[in-house]
Amino acid sequence: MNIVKQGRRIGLLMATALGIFASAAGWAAAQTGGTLVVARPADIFTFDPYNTQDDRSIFTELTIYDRLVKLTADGKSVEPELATAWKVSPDGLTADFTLREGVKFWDGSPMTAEDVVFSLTRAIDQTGSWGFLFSPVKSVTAVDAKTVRLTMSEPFAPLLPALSTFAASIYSKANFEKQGTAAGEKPMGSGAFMLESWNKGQEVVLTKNPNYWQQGKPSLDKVIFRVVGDDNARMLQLASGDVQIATDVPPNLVDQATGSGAQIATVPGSAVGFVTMNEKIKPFDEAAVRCAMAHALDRESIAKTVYFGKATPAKSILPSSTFFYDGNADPIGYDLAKAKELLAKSSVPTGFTFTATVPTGDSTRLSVAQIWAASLAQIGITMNLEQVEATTAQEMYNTEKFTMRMSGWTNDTPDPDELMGVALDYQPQNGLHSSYRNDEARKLVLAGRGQLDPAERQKTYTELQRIASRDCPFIYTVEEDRIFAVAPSVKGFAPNSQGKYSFEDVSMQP
Amino acid sequence: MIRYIAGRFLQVVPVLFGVSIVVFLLVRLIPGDPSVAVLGSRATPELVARVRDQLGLDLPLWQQYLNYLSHALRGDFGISFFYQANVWDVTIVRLPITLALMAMTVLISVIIAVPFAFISAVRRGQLPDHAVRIAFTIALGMPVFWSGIMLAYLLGVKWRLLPIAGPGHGGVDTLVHLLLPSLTIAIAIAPIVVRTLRSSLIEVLGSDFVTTGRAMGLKPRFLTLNYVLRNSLRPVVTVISINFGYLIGGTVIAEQIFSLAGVGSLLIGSIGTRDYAVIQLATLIFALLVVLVNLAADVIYMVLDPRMALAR
Repeated sequence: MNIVKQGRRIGLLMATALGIFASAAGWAAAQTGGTLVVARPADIFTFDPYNTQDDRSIFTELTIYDRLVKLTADGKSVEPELATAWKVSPDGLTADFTLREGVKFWDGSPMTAEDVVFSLTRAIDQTGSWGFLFSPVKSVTAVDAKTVRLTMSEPFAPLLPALSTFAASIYSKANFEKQGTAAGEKPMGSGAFMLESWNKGQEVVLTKNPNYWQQGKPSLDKVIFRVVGDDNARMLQLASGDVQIATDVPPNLVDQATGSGAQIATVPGSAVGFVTMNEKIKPFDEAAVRCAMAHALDRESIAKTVYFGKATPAKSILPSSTFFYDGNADPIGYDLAKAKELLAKSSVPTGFTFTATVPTGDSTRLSVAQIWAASLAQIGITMNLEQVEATTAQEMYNTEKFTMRMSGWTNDTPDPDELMGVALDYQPQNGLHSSYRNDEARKLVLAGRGQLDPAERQKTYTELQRIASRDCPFIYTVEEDRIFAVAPSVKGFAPNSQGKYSFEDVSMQP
Repeated sequence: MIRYIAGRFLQVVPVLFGVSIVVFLLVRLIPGDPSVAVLGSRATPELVARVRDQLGLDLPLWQQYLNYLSHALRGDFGISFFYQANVWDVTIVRLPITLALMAMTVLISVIIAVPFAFISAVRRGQLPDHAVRIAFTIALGMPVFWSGIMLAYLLGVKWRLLPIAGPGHGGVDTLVHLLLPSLTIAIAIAPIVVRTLRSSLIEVLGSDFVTTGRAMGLKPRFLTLNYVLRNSLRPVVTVISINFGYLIGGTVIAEQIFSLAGVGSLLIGSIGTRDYAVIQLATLIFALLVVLVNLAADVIYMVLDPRMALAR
């Protein structure tokens, strides 16, 4: 009996010792290492910024490449990344960027001015789908081995924010030329994580870049983007520990995620939902009708019931994280009396009937539309809803065969010029296919692009937001948070409004 | 028999040809083409024109089809617009996991169905029979996307018995990873098998040769396995081969839920993105599978029931 007791005690001692050892090892492991698995609803299409269209590819490119500048943590301005300093000429027509020394691509080859010139020359190509972000930039040249010059046809205020977008990512010229048509699949950047493999439709595996220019980073050994198409399945895999981060969490699953111990990370103010009306269809050509409908939208209760509080009523067509956002530029609120009053002044004082299209599978937008339809009925407007398969709905919109479209806007650059340039300037896309045509607004959009004085620019964009709330070419609904569910073991995960995950600052506890 | 099988093989050709025409036209009838799917709201007329030209979508339909056919006959099924790669390469790598999933589903369905069908048939009209029939009717009513999520939650998250994500690392690990997805689909397939097997068993149990066997004093176990079961299985093979298309539908959903990169999830994704070439090849593969399974079913009949071979 004694022996047994003794044995037990030794066992206990051993267990304690092992426990101490294990926790010490665990503590050490918390400092570096680990594989982080991120579940996303779809795969990427390419690593080539020039051919990129979808968010997943954009976010991934923001992870594997660096750019000359990056957004600051608060998202309010830009700070150096691959460029250490820059100087804009007094006339605003040239900008010189001094490149950081000692930056290497994944294969160890140095990043040179030539790589920057090559990457940015492709970025500013006006025949590419992102050239519009850099439209006044005419050329990119190397002044010397460590200086790159951008030349513009006119002063261009959004230059720095535009250079922080995925479209201005810097990659290796030698690799791009070597890969030829496969360049979109075999990238070579300077980011903290490099591509190990891409098993299409399944996962993208990134591994730590040993040549990363930021000393001591990253902490993680590997980052894996796994495709998990089903919303519920993403939450389950997080709960079971198969993944550590689930992206695109639908608002109605937030409680379920926190219930299973996950933390919620949100990026508020990066996207705004809005309704586009086709002004070729009567009576949507009348501002009074559009604004009456805008006043009949109960943004508060939509944020509460449809988004479970993970949204806030929008006060502008600009997402609130946008530079020069103004939440006090005559925002439209829920006011049925005002709505009736406006409608009474229109050609359809007692109301009318129409059909709006909602993409199938988008239960959130469908609920928004249903709540809206109920209050529209109170001012005499009957809105019937028709669900159309997503790509078909897109086609109807692109060819302007839609009546009303429910969608959202996410900024790629924090500069307001991107959204204002396509929404309120009717030239590039017919006012986001609304046929809204306002010369005053167009003039302001063009002026804002060239104003280098922030105070002056603020005035311009406040005025533009005021016009948007006066004419209601787009009816803004709510600001949607981008929601992530994150396992408690993950530390330092703070995605920004552009969708950049910044995994170089993330670590994991075992 | 060999001539018969060869003849059946030849019938595959017109079937695949017909499927290729129907699918080719169907995908082009859906409004919105790949340029819209890939360019989204940023589609300017110039970009759309460039993409359409790249894909040869400007040609008349019949010309597009002939182009497709002449290339397909030479083994070139085109380029996936989204993956920017040969469609064959994109699709074929995903086939093994889908085939494994289907095979396991059939196996699990039969393993579940046989004992319950037996209980039901032997205790016909009694409580166990009613219980089995009610339980399987409920199972039949459960949509795969729901039962999949529930199984993943219960067996994967709550009790941590089985993995719920991905295909594993090959071998036994992959089989373990496939358990939940195949069980999910099997729950939808098994009720059909139970129902068929039950009535077939009842018929066989009442037939003269069983009575004779019993009268001759054959051991019940021997009688059941060698006479009753074997003679009852033929309708089961029929019902599984007929429902094979339904099973394919199940794999499409299960692959989505359990993160398996198979042909089913590829097909669904490609319909959303209008990746014509992928849709065409994936449906051809599925059509071929359905035809081959039905052919295999015929062969299995002959093994199970030699009278069939004699009749021919």
